[in-house]
Amino acid sequence: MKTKDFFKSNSFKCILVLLIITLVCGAVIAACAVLFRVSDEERLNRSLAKIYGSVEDIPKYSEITVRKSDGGELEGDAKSRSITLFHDSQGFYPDDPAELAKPEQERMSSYTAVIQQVIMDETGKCLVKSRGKGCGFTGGSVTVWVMFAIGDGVEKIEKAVYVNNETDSSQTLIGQFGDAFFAEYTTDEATAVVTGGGYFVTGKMSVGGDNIEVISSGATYTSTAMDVAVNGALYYVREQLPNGSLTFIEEDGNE
Amino acid sequence: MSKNKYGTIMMNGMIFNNPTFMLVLGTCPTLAMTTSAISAFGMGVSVLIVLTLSNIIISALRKVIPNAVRIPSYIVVIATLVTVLKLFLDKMIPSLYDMMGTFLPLIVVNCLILGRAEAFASKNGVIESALDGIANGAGFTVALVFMGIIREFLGAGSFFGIEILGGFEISFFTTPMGAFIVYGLCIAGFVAVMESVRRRSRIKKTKLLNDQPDLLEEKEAA
Repeated sequence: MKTKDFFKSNSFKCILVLLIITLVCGAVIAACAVLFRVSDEERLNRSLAKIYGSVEDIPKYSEITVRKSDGGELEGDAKSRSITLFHDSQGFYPDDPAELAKPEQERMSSYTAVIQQVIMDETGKCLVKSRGKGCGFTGGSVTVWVMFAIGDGVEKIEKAVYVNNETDSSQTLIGQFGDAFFAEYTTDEATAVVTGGGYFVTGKMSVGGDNIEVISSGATYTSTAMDVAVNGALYYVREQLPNGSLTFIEEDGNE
Repeated sequence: MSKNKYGTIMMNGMIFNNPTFMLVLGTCPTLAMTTSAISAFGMGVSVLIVLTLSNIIISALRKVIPNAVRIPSYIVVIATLVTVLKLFLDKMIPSLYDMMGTFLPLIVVNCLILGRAEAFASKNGVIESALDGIANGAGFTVALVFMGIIREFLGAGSFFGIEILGGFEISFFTTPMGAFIVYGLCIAGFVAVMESVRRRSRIKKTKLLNDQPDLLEEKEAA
């Protein structure tokens, strides 16, 4: 077929029409993405509204810089901090230096929690946005906001909510994990785990004696990712608290 | 004649060929989004908007799109409309966006929308296609809301979020098994009613023709 014949053929017409339709649709989507853009502040307010009840009930808050484990600030655009959570049948072991020192093939299985944002409100509550990365259904991630009551250390998890308006495509789409599931992290039993230094573990498991060191919260991939996210937030708050960085700062700089 | 044609399109879409109870299309959102009447209404209206707009666009382009690439073209158009709807809901009605969750992007693969594009919009004018979209969308919405009301009333003891039965609930009806049973019963009831209406219509016509045989000749002449 000669070039001229190709440009007159039905095949070329098909390709051209499909290309034009795709380009026009792409332009429409791009325009709508700008027109209907939801700012980061708006997304944050929506998540906080779920925690505090409504937008009007959100108190003043200040953002805490997410720090490295030695207290240093993260550089450049790396505003989030990854926490490795090693695990076996007995529980989670966050940032275990002994495991990290081993060659990779000898280490325990591990999950990654990414701390993305930490805020402190004027009532003394600490909110941590944490993502359980790559361990959800089909390797997806789960992002949660966890509100901690801080007193003499971490006292309890006041509330945990699922962030379902994340724009990251790796976010696992969750169907019907309702409020009742997240309420598991706020029970008296869960509070005993928090104050006792334990972490949340997915799946049923036996515990030694009368000491409850772990809480079972489900057996699915998605609930595993939620546990990883909550454990990561819990570990971060426990680790950072002794550094004294968890204080609410007014806009004028006063504590 | 035109009014009759438009009336026929509307009646076919909403009642005689109801996409949910007669054609059994769009089963996935029907079962998943009818746990409450509000979510059912939200899904129904979303499908109505996408269906109407996709019918209009595809009808307008039907003479331009070659036959060989008609399906990919339709899918691109439908996916674009669903994406725009998703962006709109995320900005303007975040509560509905959260409620619909996974099932909002799944509207792209709703067989009702592609089915009407292929069966009607690709062969008819813009106005007729728009009416077909509105009729089928409205029929889908009404069917979903009807199921949503039943499942919410029995499963949660409420009506559009307002508690009525004071804590009484049969949680079975909010489960997938309950969804299938309610769906099956609704289909059975709808088909039974339609059959009854058709039978009465046939009897009435037969009686009329028996009483007035001249009418038959006039009809045949027309």
